[in-house]
Amino acid sequence: MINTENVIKNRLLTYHQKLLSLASIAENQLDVLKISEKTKFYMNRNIISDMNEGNAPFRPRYILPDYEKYLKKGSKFLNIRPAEDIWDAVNNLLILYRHVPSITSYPVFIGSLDKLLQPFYNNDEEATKAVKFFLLHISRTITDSFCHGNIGPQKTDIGEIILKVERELQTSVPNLTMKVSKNTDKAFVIEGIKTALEVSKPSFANDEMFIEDLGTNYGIASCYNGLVIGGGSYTLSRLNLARLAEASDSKSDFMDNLLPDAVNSMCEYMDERIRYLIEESGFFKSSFLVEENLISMDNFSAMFGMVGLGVAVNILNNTKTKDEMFGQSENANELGKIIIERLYELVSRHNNKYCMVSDNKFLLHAQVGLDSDIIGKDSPGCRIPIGDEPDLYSHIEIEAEYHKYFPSGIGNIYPFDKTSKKNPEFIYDILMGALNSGMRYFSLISSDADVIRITGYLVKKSEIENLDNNIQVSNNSAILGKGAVDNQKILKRRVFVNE
Amino acid sequence: MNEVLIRKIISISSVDGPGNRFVIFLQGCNMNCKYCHNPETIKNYDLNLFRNIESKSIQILNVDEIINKIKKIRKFISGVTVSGGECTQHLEFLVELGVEVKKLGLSFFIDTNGYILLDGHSDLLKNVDGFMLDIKSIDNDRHLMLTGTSNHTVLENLDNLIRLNKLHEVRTVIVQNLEDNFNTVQEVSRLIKNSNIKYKLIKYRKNGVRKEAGNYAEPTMEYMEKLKKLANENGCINVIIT
Repeated sequence: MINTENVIKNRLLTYHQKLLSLASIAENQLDVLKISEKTKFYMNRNIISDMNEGNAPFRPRYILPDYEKYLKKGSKFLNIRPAEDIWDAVNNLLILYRHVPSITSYPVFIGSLDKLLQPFYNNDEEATKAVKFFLLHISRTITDSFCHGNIGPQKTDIGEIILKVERELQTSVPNLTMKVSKNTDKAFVIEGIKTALEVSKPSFANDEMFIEDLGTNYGIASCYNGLVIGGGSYTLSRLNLARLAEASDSKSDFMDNLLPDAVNSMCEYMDERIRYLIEESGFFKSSFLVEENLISMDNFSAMFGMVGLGVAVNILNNTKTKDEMFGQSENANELGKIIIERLYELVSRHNNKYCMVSDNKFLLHAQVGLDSDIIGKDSPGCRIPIGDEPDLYSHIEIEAEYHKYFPSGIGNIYPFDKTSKKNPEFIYDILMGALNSGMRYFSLISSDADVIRITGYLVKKSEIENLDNNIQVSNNSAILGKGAVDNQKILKRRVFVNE
Repeated sequence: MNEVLIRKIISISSVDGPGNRFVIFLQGCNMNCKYCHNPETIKNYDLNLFRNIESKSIQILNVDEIINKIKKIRKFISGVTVSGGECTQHLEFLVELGVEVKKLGLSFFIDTNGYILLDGHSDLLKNVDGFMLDIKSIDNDRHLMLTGTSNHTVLENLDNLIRLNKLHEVRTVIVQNLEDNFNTVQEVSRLIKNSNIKYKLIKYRKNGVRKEAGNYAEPTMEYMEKLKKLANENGCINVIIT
């Protein structure tokens, strides 16, 4: 039983963090969703998780407003006129961000930033000042790492300025992705890599792959979720394959009985969440974002998340030695592929009439973990568990094989020793190799950065240290980051170092 | 088909030329540097000694076998570097390998001590995109003392490679307070000034050295920065301390 007063008296929480916790407690007093006994069974065993979305869905989990339309047309509700110069553009965006809901209460997508601001570019001096103002404002008011901006695939003045300013500001917010296509300027990508080695962002998205799955108007939101702009995702639930494997008697029991049964349950559960959101909460009938056509149900889908493949494979194979582990053994890797192919097929059979943008299908998502997940018992998405990583090329090639199944997001974080800063072209070659291997998303960090990538989002190591020393931090996500560091040993990833 | 003795292959490297590279270290060297930190690579063996034995540290490979290894990871690299030991002792092998590497669309770099004159070997030079050349000392007597060989050909190679636009990088190992460090850095940086040629000042490290290294001391960062400053002042733009 949650002690609400503990939240109020918790000195480690800021006012806003307390507010969010109190709202969550209130929401979770309700019991309005029709959940089957079978789903409850799976939820009690942590096989199905609602990803802390709350008992009464009252807003979509992830929203990606059409900021381009907003800058051109302004907003009647907010009494904002169309932007005329870069200062209008920046100000108007910052204003709209305050009104974009999500699971975190902050916008999880702040736009294709270079595309939005480049039309207002006059010169470097003015643009740099405006971008600095913009990014600093965001980092100090959107105090949540799941806020995500995009740049690329074309090189732009604004894109280059954003990369330089990020190196200077050293903030964990916003998260940033550079879309990379076959035509993206090499020097621009290398600037991105130099920035990533300093501040663990941007990550790099395979533009061609995302376009094939989601169309040209896609955005990367929150951790690394590919979704359609002008829409988003109603919900994300997740299936823990590791816990499901634990509950199975055998491989065939898992594949033929439990997996189809759990997928069925979770699809029904997601249907119910979506139904409540759309048919009862009234969000889509009352939000000005819908009214002004900045979002539309036509562009929404839902995310069927999974986690724990690596551990599931090791459980099903009854693995005893390291060389038999998922990531180290061909046999284990094969089983991983079979499981995901089966999962993809099962999820594809299900239809939800409200997911029009994805042909009424849920999009698979490789969820990378909750702060409460525990290394050894859980493993992120389809990632090779930390500690079992093979050499870098194998690591990339093994994980790349899963990427085609996960249009709404999958990726991993590859740490490099700080000597790589002297040769960023080295990482460019590896990145290109990864994208050509079928990888849709690639993140890198340097062994000496303060801003680090946890499982998908960014936090400062210094913020985690503050929490360790009972000092408040403004970034809500730092608390999650501390959990991941403590429980999932995310600072112990295999680092590439030159021999 | 040319075969050589290979000490090591590294399929991923950020420190052996531009980008990510596949690096081949050949066995055998024609210098005997006092501060060598890989002295196990110095000895020149008869290749046939290794034909019928299984050694954990040295293997015989031919060009085809090496190319097959490269092909497996081709998409992750931008080039191949050959080092050693001293790889220019095997010019025919390098020529053959260079042809095959270029067919794969990769760049081909060679790491050399410059003891063998490269001028005149157009069949090699045409396929090499860049050389990384060690200048141990600008002073011949000191060079003899340090390496057991004269530096005349080394300096001739330096001039030629600059002229041919094939010099990617010069490297000098810096031992603390060795007499001619400043002279060497001064002269080299004057020769490569105002170009993109990198000048790597490598801190001497004691790991793996033999007793020949005697009292050689690892340089302080302050000493290295002084040398870097000297190189910059002489017009050398791209100086790296490593």
